[in-house]
Amino acid sequence: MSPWPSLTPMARIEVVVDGAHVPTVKEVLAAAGARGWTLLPGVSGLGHHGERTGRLLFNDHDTLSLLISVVPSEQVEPIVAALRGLLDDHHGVVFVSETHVSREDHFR
Amino acid sequence: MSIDLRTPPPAPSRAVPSPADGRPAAPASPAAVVADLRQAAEVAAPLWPLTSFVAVNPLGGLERLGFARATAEARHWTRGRTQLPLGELRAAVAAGRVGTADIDAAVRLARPDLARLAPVAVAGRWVDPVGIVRRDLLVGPEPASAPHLPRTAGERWDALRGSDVADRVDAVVTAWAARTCAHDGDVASFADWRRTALRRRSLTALVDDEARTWLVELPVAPVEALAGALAALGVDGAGRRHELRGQVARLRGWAGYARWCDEWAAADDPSPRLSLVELVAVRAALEAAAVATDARRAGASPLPPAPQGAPTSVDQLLGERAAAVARDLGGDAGDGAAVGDVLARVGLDERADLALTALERAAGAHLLAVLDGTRSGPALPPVLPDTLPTRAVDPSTSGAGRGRPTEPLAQVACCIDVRSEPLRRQLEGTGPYETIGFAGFFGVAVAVRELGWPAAEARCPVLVRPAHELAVAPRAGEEVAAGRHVRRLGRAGAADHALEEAHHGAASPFALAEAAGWLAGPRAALRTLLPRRRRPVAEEPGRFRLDPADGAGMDLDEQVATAAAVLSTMGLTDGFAPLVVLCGHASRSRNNPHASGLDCGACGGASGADSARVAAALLDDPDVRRGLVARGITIPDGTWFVPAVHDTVTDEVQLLDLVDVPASHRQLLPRLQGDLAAAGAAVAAGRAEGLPGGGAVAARGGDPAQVRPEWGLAGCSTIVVGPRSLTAGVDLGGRAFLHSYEAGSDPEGAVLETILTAPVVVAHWITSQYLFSALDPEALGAGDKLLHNPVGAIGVVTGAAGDLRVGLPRQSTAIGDRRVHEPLRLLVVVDAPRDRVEAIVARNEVLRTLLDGSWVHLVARGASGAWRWRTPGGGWADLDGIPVAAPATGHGEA
Repeated sequence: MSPWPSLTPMARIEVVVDGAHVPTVKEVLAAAGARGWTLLPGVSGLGHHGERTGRLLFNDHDTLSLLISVVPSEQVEPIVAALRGLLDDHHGVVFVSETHVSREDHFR
Repeated sequence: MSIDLRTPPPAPSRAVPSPADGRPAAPASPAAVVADLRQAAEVAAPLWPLTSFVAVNPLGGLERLGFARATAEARHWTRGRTQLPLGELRAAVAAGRVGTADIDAAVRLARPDLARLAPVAVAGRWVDPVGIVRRDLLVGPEPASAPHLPRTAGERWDALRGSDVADRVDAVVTAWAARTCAHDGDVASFADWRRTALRRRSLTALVDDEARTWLVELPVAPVEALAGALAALGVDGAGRRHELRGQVARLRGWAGYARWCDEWAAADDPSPRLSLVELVAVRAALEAAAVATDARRAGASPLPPAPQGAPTSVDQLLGERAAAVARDLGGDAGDGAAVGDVLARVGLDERADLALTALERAAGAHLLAVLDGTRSGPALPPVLPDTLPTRAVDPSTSGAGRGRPTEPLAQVACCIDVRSEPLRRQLEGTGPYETIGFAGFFGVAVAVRELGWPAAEARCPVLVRPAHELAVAPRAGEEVAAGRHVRRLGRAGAADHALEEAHHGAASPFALAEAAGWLAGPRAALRTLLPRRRRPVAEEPGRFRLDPADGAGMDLDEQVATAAAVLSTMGLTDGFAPLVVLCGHASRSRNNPHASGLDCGACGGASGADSARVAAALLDDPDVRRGLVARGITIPDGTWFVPAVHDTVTDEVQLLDLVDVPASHRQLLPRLQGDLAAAGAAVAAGRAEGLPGGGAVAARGGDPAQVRPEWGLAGCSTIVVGPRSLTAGVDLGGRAFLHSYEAGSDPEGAVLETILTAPVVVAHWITSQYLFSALDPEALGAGDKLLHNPVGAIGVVTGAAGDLRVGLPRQSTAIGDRRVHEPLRLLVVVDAPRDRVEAIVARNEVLRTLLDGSWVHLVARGASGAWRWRTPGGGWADLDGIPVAAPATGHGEA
């Protein structure tokens, strides 16, 4: 039960992948029933495979992107299972956390 | 609070019956099918439409595997020859082009671990393991070509039955795709295919009534239909990606086009749309239905389970290799074991990689010696002197030995394209000119709309999304002329449209020839016998408008920021000449579906004229110049930027937007134009000698029967990132990309990072496309151009039908069966400290993948100024492959 009765619990999925794989993640989200996502291109950071620079001047393709999608919890496992194969072979991470939304119908 | 991670949703409620009468697997979740399909599609590189034919590494999807593994994988999936036979290295050694020192250095550079192994006792003496590997390269047995293993369920079925179901499925699917993607705005879908194809009688031979019913009852959503087809083929989770990869591999052309549609096409691009999932749903469903039909008709057993994963390369030759090397060392069978211990570390794929590295090291060491002045002659000599166009210019008039002119009449910035190099060299020898190499979009990533164009087109590398749209507006007093120009375009456009309509569909050229050949034939014959000289680019009555208007333009801050970035990246922030020419390039030829492949890759496979015009308009704008002063860049009033375009068929350079040149500068133009004409003519004369058929280059572009209007980028092998003083006067044979770079002006490496992550990546794509098209012109190249027929504006097929062809036509890399392009990976020569390079590599995954995976080689300067070669994993060595200390250790390597 949500600590905020006026809000509906949902799952927030954050995926960090190479720009080249953004279309794949979008398609996976869509195939699993996600209604939308937010894309932040050119994110930087440090991880298992070393440092990653942020936005490049003339290359939008080879930098990391962060996709955020909010979905009903029952959609999480198919999405994570589908992305697992991608992340086994390519760099990237996926985080799942709890979130709450005020307009449930926008996400279901 | 925990999240409820429930199990995946149930499979579609309606069970999908198996037409193969075998073991239907449970349909997978749509998300899983989509994810597996996308990864499976890595064997098909994106294929750009003919209107913007962009070079890509055909093995780009496999880059993470490294060169040796990727080429092995690609050999299975594409059926192509991806490696150089050892015989070619041995021939180069016999010809004296490669020495044993080159091979030893290559082994040490590519495999530093081997150089650290202890010597091996053979025939009573100690032998360096590097020498053992060298002998294996020179005398070891070559593997026989292995039989191809099936990739799809249909291929497995055909292998069992001796049937040709998979080929017949391909024929149906490619005909449908060609028919459905013939016009702009078309959208191909599984639902559309099922609605129309199942009515065709021709399908009866492939699909019986039961399978037809099964097809009709498949879910209409393509991903669910694909899941159903895979289930029917007995493909479960573990084998799904393998099966999908096979499905994609059989139609790499159409799958590549679908990848372009899904991943690269701009939302407003009118090109026909075909999604990968729709294409593969059609193919997999039809294959499942066809296999089931064939099984029923033959009363045969269902398919056995599919193998998992691509076949691994097992070195069954190790014993023979060891024995051959032992014999070469004067040893006997007893020495084979010790030799074999070394060779076991070098698989057959890695050995092929080493052979290529040896050729590359030999070429690279020679180039660097010429750049350093310790060796003379051409830096990149033709490998096949009797066939390779040298594009050499007359040494007596070349710029050899010339320094930078103290007061240049003009600075001429050309694209980094290899075809700019001879022109720059010749122009520098002709007069007081300084030349600059820069990506041909001149750093202005925009989409442009010329007068009368219905929509804007991108004019930047495909790695970049255009940030702005700029449109041409008539200058004051040119409104009437602009109207005439637009009407003329409209008439020409209508004619083009009629011709394009006639060319729709893979088979239509044949129909067109039959219907209109009597009319068109004499005209074509006349055009062939008397080819028309291509006319210069028509001057447009207008200029690019920078400020926002009609949904286009950019505000002043953006203009200034862009101008500053352009000049900084170009290294041109002071010392401006009276004229600065921004020279794009274009290739004008007739009856050439791959014509855009000869245009400027940095401009998205289009003419570089617009990019030059936009950049010049920006840098000549008084408000922009005032803004630049605040950023520390002062362009003097006495400097004017002039756009130009270099026709790479004729080597003519045309100055553009001349009406905008102020009166103060007009008297400078005649000399500049005269010198450009003289330089171009000299380059063209040299190039003509290397073109089959000889004769003047001027008429080639206008000859519709000419299959080779120019050599394009054939021979490309190197990119030099450094000051012009490093390469000035050196004959690079039109084989090197040249990007200007001053290490002293870029202490933080920001400019170098931009160069390494964009122009170098594009140069790698281009070089890789030439490499693989040259290695196998049929499987990895587009085959014989004479047999091509266009499918709309999407691509070409060979003959009347079949898959879209990928890669370059055979005529781009060979003359008949004789290879002209020397297949080499890109060598990146960076005239900058290697610690700066390493820091950039360390924070850019794209560079780590290319360098650690041996897709490109890179040399940079050591502390002493000597060239150092980066080895996989971040080590550095001298050119003999002897490791030098890492920059960070501070051991002060020489």
